[in-house]
Amino acid sequence: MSVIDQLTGEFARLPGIGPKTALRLVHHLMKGPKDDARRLSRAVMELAERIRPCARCGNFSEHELCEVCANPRRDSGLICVVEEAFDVGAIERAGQYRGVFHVLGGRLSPLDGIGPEELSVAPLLERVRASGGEVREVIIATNASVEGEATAVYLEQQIRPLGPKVSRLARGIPVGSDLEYVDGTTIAEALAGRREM
Amino acid sequence: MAPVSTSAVLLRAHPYGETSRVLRFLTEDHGLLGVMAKGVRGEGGRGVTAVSTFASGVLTVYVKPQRELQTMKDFACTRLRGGLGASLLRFAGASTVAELVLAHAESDPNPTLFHAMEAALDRLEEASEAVAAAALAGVWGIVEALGFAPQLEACIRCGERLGEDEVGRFEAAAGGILCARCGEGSQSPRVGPIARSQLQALLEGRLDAPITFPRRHLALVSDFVAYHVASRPLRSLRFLGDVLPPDPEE
Repeated sequence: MSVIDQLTGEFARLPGIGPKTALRLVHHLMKGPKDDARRLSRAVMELAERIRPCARCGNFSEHELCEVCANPRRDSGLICVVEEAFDVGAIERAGQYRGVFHVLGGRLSPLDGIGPEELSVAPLLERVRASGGEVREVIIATNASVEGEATAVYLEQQIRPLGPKVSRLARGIPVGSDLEYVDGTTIAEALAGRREM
Repeated sequence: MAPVSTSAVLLRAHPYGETSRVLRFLTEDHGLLGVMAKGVRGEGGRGVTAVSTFASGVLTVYVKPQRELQTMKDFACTRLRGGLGASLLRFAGASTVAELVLAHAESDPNPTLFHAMEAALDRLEEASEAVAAAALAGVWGIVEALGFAPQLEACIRCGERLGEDEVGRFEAAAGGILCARCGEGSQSPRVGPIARSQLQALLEGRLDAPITFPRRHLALVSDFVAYHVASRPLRSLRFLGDVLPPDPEE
């Protein structure tokens, strides 16, 4: 197999990249300065060697603890549970949350053979137990899907007996959207979750 | 190419790329259908909540016969069934019926199977007390709609009707109940008149007969499904086993 075929095959394994796009990327690298390809290669190597899961929350990290867990100004009594590490970025970008995270590594999906044992549930429970009451609240921020909801229900059943308050992200109308274009199910959720002003 | 519309229930959804999803629907007119739903994950994508697993609605799709994945135009959700996520047992039951259909259904239309699927999901969402029975009835309902219902009234070997108090054996491989005489020496599960009537009620989708030993019933349907319907063990059945209430001590 030629180097071109090999790299095309590797690119094509990435999400959202088909064989044609993969070949286009390879051609782009071949036509550009050699230093660009070397820089990309180095970055990929460093990613593979330096990135690992945070020992506490499972987020991507270059050190034993991720930036959030290592930050003493974050509120460690508030844990936000997310499905995947990239969900941490979504919440961090909002700039409003001052607590810490826990990454489950997926959500319950019996169809895919994913049960509680396949998720990072035991480390979460151990984290709450070991805090000796310091953890006041666990916010479950799994996706607003049937699978995400079932995962939230399971976590609530496991966490509540340990003491902390368990909450779930609210659901409703996206900020900046026109009510006219919001689908009926979202409106129904927003009505059910309305709050007093 | 003109789009076609059909009633459909969403069995499975996978993210694809940044904004799309690959969806597997059971449809009334086109059987099992894989579709690419472009843009439904993106910010402000129309129908974001509507393409939720186990939701029913009207699917409009561009169908090209030789294609593995069709292109979705729209999915107008008529029933979200969000309640299936609010209980692990309901969720496990719904996942099991969906996996069973995905493992066995074909692209030929099968309205009986489609209606059995919808009925199973509705029962699971609506059952107030008998959720375990609704989950078991759902699985048996799909087994029956696929044409594999077990024979319960007469012995599968000799054809004799079982007596009112007769305790038979549930022989999954043979496809039903063995009478006491034919089942002599068999190691298959014992099935007495109460269990038989419960099994019959589950097959008919009735939840009025209380299920005394849900895990034993699960073992019966698991063995039957493994032998007759699915070519591999269903992963959802294991999860259903984990969340079913324990059987009472005898």
